[in-house]
Amino acid sequence: MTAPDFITALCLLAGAFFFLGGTLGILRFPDLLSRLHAVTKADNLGLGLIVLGLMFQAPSVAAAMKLALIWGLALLAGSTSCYLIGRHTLARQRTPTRRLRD
Amino acid sequence: MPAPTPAAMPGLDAELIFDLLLCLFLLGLALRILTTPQLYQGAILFIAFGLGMALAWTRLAAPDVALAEAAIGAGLVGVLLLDSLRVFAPAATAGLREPAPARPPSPTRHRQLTAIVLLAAAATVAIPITLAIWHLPAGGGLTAAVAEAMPESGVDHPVTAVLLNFRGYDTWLEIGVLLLAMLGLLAIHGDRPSTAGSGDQAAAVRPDALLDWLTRLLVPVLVLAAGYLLWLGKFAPGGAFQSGVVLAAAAILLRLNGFALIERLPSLAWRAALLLGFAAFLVHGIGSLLAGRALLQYPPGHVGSWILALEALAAFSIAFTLAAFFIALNRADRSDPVVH
Repeated sequence: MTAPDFITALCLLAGAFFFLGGTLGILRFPDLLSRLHAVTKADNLGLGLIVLGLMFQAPSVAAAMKLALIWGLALLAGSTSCYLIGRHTLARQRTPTRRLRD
Repeated sequence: MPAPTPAAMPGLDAELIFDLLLCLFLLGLALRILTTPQLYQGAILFIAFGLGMALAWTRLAAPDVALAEAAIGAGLVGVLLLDSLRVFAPAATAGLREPAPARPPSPTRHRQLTAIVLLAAAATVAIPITLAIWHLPAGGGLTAAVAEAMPESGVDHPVTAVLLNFRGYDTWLEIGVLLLAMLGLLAIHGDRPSTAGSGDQAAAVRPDALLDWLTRLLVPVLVLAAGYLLWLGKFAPGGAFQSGVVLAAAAILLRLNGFALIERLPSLAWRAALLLGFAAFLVHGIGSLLAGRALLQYPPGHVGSWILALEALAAFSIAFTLAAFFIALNRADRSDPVVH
């Protein structure tokens, strides 16, 4: 096993570990905000580690940079959607009567 | 449902096991979606099912379909299902905290009849598909014919060549299906979404510095990504539908942050934006017939540019339609004056 392959395997395993942790968090945590916390860890660190691992296998520097860009896009989109969900949840907790209207 | 076949690399047992597990997972999930009494749970499971299907398409070496399935089948359809539930069955989504009431049990006789009809319908679809797969030619069907015609197609990616050139009417009809769905929604809601009327939600969204910053950062990136996907379709998986979904996501993000771009459009422009993709194909089809070519056959020379232009218009209409879906359903929920 060459050195890049070894680093790839290490990064992929570490990434899978974070995804596993995030999934456990979604299943086990009691409320929406802490579940969001778990899922962002999985998305940011897990995907980051997997992308890092794959970058060592990329055929060219350009392909490796593209992988990094994908991670950046996922980070940006993930944090935005998480923030939207969190904000919506907080707003809903402040107006608890709303859901009982019907 | 096309079952993933583990035919890609015989002898690799880990892949076979994975594929079999994926098949079982999809079948189990489908069964669960059909049998769950809670509509809300069904909608959530449907999203998971869409992601599983995307994985299955990836295993079948069809990344184009996987992308479309994940973006449309799981992402946007999931959002639309949840939104529809909230609008048409508010009790089901309120079930986040309180258990949703199960659907009233229908009489046994009625239920049996439904089951028989559904089974018959499923068999009518499943038997021909199974037979068709059984009789698949060994050489991979039309793959050789497509490969042979690739130099004339104007693009380098066979999927784009088939969808936009050899069988352009497939894409045309798909855009038509989207348009029909939009007409259905308009028929239910009575009118296009607009800022006028009860509960101007755009004004009701409170300013939020962080969300504002994120939106301003993300939307240009999404537009760039949509353009990239559109351009990429010439060489690799990508194209109008994938690009349109990313663009729709940008529009939805803008809407959630209070920018009512789509509702502020004049009525005529709104309708034109919905129709643009379908109309472009229609004009192209009529034009090709009038010029004495086959239906939807491109004029010789610059075929790639024609395809890109047609795809750009289609992507715009797809994005607009999907975003309009979301906004129409989202707005129907906000008729009460409460902020969020």
